[in-house]
Amino acid sequence: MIRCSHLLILPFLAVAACSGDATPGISATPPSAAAAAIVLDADPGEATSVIDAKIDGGDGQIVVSGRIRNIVKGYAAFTLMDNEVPFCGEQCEEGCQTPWDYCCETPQKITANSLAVEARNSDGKPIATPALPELRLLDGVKVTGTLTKDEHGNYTLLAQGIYRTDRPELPDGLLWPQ
Amino acid sequence: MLPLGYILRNLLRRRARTAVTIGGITATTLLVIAMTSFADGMTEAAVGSARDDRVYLLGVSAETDLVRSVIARGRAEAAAAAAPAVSTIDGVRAASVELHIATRTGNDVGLVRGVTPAAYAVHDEVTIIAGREPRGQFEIMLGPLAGSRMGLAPEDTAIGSTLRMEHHDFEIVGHFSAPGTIYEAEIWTRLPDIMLATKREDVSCVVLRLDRPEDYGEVSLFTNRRLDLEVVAMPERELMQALASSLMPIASLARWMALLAVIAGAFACANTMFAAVLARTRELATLRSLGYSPKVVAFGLIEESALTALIGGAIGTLLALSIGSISLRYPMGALALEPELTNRAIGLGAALVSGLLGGIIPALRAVRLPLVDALGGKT
Repeated sequence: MIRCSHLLILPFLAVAACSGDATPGISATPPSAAAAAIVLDADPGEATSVIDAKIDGGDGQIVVSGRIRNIVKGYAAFTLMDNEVPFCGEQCEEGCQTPWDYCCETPQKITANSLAVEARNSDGKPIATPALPELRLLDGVKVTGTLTKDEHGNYTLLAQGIYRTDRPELPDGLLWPQ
Repeated sequence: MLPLGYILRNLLRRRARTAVTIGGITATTLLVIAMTSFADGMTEAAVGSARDDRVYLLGVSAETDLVRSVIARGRAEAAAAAAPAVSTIDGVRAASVELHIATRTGNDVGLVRGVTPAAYAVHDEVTIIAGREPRGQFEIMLGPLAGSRMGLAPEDTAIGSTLRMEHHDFEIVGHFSAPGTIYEAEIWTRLPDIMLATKREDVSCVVLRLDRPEDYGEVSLFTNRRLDLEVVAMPERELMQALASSLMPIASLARWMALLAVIAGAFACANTMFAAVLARTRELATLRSLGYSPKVVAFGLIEESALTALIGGAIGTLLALSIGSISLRYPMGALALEPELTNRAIGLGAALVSGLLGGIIPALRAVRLPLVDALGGKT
């Protein structure tokens, strides 16, 4: 006969089975095929920093490295932050509930060290996708593509490939943005 | 089962003790209703204000904090003018540049929202119920809870009165309502006036009303590209959820207090029932010797306790109904405490639980005593 105390653990097992091995911060919804196709299997090689890419203006194909600061909902687009800027989890006090953000930095510093990244389709429009492929905030990435500049002086990196280089260890139990 | 008449007669045999217990349970019920209404009202006011077609543009380092959000006014106006998918209502582009500040008068803090005419297109839940909206310099209109938020007497919030904020006198020209939303605790004034009074050159946010909620992605794409504007987009629902979760500790505390009140009620009932059992040891033993099983006797005692609690609960629920709406303040807001049917049901249920819990141990004690000892009056 199964002991009652054994039955008590069944709900927990059920919850564990349902939750699977999902990484916190990564959407359970799969990305669109077009978005999934931009993921690179191999390291694209030496990369330039966000700041250097913006200073050089980036003629032709470049590789830029940085961390994902912000993800655009519904599109294969995000903001890349220069690796030199520490994220909150690196510099703020223990117990920070949003270690993935840069709220300790001034808006000017955030803007100066950020670069918009977009993957576009053959029509030149951003690729629509319910989620980014296996990427979350703060992931270190190398992005290959070409740099464009708009009339306001903002650069956008038109991504052709994305390679994840690292993922910082963050505490468990955080309420990641959806 | 013991007859109901017997149980009722027992309650009336010790009127004073029963009345005191009923009084205690009434207070417990009122406390449970008040605490659960407060916890629900506080979180619902934040979430209830949220709409899927509204998006906030916040300062790039503000994340989810409206008060910390800072955007240079020029950039905010550029964002309001250039953001895509924004509705046009009666010829007005629904993009509202706003400054949110917490202003102090003595020990009380008022919430002021500096707005432009576009705000009335964006926040269309806000209805002017008396007077008019601020049009001239240093004019304000108040939400129904703004006065209690700032600790003002009703006569101080009348139209034509003056309210001193940020070293300036503001004339009250209107009253507005927006039931069930956070606006109700706010004071609205013209954006240039509050910027002048606070010597601020920046604003807090731009609130956009979109043609369709699905267009949020386009706005997010816009802010991602226009890094020069130094703003990030956030759906109102997400922002309000963040506000609601920041209020969760207070709401949890209120719910814990309600639970403690139930436990206190149970102790009150247990105390009464213990006294009843001690006073009626022989009587209960006689019932058992007449053939009533220990289960029936115990059940009868629990029934007595539950009935006492139920009477107290009913009185408490009726009192809560008669008190009506009360204005309460909480950090960064205020709410009208209006117990819903659910809260009243929880209050009545809590009273019943107190009675049942309070009756169990005395009942068990009464029937566990050996019959011979009980008949002999030993306790």
